[in-house]
Amino acid sequence: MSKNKKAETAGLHWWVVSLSEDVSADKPLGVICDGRDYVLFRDAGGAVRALLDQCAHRRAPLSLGRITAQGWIECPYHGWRYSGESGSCVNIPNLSAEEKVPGYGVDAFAVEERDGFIQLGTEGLHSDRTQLADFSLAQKSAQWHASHLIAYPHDALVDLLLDAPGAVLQIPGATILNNHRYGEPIVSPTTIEVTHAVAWTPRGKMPKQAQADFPLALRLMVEKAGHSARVELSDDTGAVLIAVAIGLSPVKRNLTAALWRATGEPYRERILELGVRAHLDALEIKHAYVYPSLLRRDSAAEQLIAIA
Amino acid sequence: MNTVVAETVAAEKAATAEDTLASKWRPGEFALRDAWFPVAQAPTLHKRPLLRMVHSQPFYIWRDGDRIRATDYHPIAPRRTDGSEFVSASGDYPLIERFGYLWVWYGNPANADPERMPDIPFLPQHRAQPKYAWGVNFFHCTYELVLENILDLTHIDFVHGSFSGSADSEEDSIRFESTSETVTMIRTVKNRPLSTYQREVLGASQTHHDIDAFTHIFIRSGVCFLHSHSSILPGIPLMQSNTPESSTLTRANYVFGVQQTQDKAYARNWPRTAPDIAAQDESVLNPQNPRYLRQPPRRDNSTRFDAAGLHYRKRHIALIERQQNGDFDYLPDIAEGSDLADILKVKRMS
Repeated sequence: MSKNKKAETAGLHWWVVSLSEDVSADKPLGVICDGRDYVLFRDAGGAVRALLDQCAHRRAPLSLGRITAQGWIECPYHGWRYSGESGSCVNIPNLSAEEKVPGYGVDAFAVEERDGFIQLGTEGLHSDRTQLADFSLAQKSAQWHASHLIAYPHDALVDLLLDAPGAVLQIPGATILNNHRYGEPIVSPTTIEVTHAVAWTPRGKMPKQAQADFPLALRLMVEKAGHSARVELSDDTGAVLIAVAIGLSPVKRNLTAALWRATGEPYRERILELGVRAHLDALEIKHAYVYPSLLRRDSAAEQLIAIA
Repeated sequence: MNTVVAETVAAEKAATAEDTLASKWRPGEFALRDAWFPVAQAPTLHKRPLLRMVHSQPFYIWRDGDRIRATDYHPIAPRRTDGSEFVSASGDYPLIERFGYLWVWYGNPANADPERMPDIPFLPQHRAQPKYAWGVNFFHCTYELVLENILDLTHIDFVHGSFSGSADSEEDSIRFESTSETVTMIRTVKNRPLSTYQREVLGASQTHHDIDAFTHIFIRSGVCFLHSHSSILPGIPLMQSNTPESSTLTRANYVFGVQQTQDKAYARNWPRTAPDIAAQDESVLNPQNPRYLRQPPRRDNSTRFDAAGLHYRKRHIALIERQQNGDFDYLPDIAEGSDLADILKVKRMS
């Protein structure tokens, strides 16, 4: 993570680490966020729990273990069991009935399950909930969701999304025109908003004659800190056809998790399945015009560093 | 407080005290030297030189006429270095063929005393075992974690339950003893349920058995012996080399003392489990490694069941401290204690 990024996200402790569907009471899920390993699972009450994915005993990954009938997570190495709510060790096999379980435990983390996303507070159980991102969508007739690991650093991916959304997003049958922006970026204290023209992808070569008007527009609202983004695809009347909520999180060096949920209405009798690319388009990255991303940085000096 | 609880609390306190010292344990960060390592099965050496590593030091093993040599260079490549402190002027490491293995010395060649080689009472000294009795596994971790795993009592029930049966025994106790160079653990289990594998593949007709299990490790080299006496099943001792190739790779050459049982079918079947059992260990050892290697000091939590492993950590730390101070000698205490053949209760073959 760059020095700039560290300064920007100094107060940010919540990241999207999973979609709701991927966390179950049957099998623990190991995730990595910002270089740390976490295990996610549902307890007996169905609540999502997050613990450091490292047994307090011999550091084996709890995510390779199992969830017991009581809703505890059991280490695969020696069977130590932990409560998801507190991280306390509640059972050690082989101890006799008279023996008390010592006050051991693993770090537990706050979790928020909302709008189909699992957000994790990396500061522990008391992470500041005012920092939770809003992923709510006004539901339309069709819904879809997916997630990708993208081999690109998180901070750079957020910049690229702002500068060349077509390098990161895709709409089968349509092309996001990275160099055709409607107006200046709109900057708020926490977000940057940009709108791009979207054209139907021609079946043959792109026409030489410039197109005067475009059938669709892509409105992108990116949180400056880079843990969430919203996308709306509209027709030329301004009616929103598709809305997408995207969670972005740094996984480890050069790896970013992108998780999204989308909802849409049919347009010309089909759904335009807007989503995040699994593999970025190198040419689009090459031609990206570094501009909106500069506005994530507050000072001119930081902007210069970002360009460099 | 009843007696059982009082004893338990005392054991817990002892484990905690040992644990405090063992929290200084930093596996994979110090290469203990002056030891013999069984790096290759003798029958695997043909025309082509073998390359083996010990603590990242290359050992090319090859035939030079009637002689087997271990050098720090490949015989057809010009020697590019002046050699290390571990080789003679000719670039040779000390090498001995014994127990069907090629043993090399990692350390000062002047100290390469054959007497320092482990005694393996269940293997013939001058003959290799039949091919079905030996093989190799790799653990992608530093060898100290493998040794702690081998001394670890309770992981067997969770990691190897499919082979060893469940932990629901009437009685389960351990004792251990150690020297400055070795740790021995003896586990006594009464009325343990047999696994499906033991009943259906190995042909045990009963449902429960009693076991006396032995584990003996050599701290410097990583060599270990494992053996168990079951009230029902035959017992076949195992030697596993656990050679530290690097802090992320352990070569585990293994060989079974198949002559210790008259049950020929069992002697052929049991060694076949070695790769599967190793894969079960690898499933936890591999992810353990980055959680230990070059990590900030952190105390692991332990119980009385970890006593042997914690004691190994303590002995390992002591050996490192001695070597850091330039003391590479073997202390006299290694000559004390019983004959290994008696401890393991095996028929001596050498």
